[in-house]
Amino acid sequence: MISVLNAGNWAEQYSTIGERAFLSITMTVVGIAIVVFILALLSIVVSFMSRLINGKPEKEDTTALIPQPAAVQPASTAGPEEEETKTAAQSVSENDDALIAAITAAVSLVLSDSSQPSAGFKIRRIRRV
Amino acid sequence: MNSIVNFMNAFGETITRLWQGSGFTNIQLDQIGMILIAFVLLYLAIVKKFEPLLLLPIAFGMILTNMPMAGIINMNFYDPDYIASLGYPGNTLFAYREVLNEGGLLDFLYLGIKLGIYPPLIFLGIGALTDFGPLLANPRSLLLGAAAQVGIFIAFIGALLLGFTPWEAASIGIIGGADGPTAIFVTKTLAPHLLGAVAVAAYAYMALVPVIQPPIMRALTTKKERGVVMEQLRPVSRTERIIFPIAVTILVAMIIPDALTLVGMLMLGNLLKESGVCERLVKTAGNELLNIVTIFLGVSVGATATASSFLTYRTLLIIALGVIAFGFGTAAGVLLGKVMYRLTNGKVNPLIGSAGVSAVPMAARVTQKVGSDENPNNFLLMHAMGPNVAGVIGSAVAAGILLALLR
Repeated sequence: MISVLNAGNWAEQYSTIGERAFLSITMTVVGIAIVVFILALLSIVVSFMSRLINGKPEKEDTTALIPQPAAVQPASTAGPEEEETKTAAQSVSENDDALIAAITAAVSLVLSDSSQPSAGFKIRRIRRV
Repeated sequence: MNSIVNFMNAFGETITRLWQGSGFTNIQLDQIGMILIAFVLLYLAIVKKFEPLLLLPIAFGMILTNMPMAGIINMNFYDPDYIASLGYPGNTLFAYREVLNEGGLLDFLYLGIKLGIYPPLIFLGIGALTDFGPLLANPRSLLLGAAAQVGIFIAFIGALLLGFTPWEAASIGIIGGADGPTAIFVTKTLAPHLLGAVAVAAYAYMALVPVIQPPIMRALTTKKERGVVMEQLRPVSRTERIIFPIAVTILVAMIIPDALTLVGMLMLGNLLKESGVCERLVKTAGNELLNIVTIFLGVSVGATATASSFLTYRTLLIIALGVIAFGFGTAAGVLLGKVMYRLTNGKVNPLIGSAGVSAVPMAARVTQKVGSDENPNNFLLMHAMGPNVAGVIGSAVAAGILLALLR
């Protein structure tokens, strides 16, 4: 139908309101279907691409929300420094990665303003006190 | 004595000839009407700041072309019947001999529209300025961008039933895509005689998004739905940002080749930006090139708005259908947003669906405003940017479909 549509014969072929309505609805359905199909396909491709690049997103860890009975602690043979390191490591969650990046950027900016060398500056951990 | 009389006669004749050749004696009433309309558009652009970057050059182009006796543009050179009468082959786009020998400045500038050069270059600049990160973080936004293109086809139906040809109806419907370059790209191919009216309607309605959309958004959503706070978007890696434009270009080109011109240039601009190794090109594409092409496009489009083509009953219909297209596009996006709200158990705020019309970033800002009216602590802007930029792709794809079906 659409392939024979040209300026010469369309008015003869679709002279009544009903025929025009049929033409318009057909083209609308085809058009919307193709738009939705392409963008849905893009959506799938983008999702697949992000999984391929970033890996499967980790499921939210809900065990932290459920109070766990205190485990029996094995006799600690670690020195005070190691215990402190473990405590510090536990306190750094994934959300602190963004905080570390922000603090690093701010410190680098301050150091560059004060003409001090900022190369090699790196924040390794944060401990909330 | 005789010489004085002769001199006075010659002087009088010269003055009379000058007066008769001036614009004062040759201006028509409809030209005065068009100049007044141009003044209104200038007011909207300068005082109300309605899309001034395009509306101001368009309005000034309208003044230039409707000045009597100026002949600043000869639209005959692009009329198929006139071209055929000069003996050119059937598929000749413009009377190139006449343009080269007799054409004025705007005749040459108009070639950028006629040959389809300006809109893709504008899309190149837009791509260089666009951040697809929110879209990549939430790929479902693409569906909202698709839904908002329903307005294009609803207006297409309305235009066809009102007596417009399918080519004119497609040019009118594309106003609903809320994308000026796309509207111009489709109209110059399918219905170039409607270019002035379609361009003015498209850019005027893009500026009226904050007026048109909120009532529709509030009518279709509940307070609870409007107050939904969405989860923070995940960070998007550089690799994803680089692969995305390449993947989109190839995918769209394989399915709808007619959409490649616009989508391809949009993605080229974005790839230049995201690659991080073409800063100079990004700066040029997003600034100098975009600004130069915007000026040429605006003035050329305005120059096509002559009294005979603009001051018709059909122009009023075009303006009315443009509002319908916008309204239905907004409604369709919000309704799909409501479906997503239900399917995700209330994690998606339906308001972001309205941002699927590709008026970037105005539509996203409107979503933020309506959402924050309900919940001042709700920040929907970045969530709405996903559907907003998806709408740019969606409207370009819709344009490609219309061109493929009707060209």
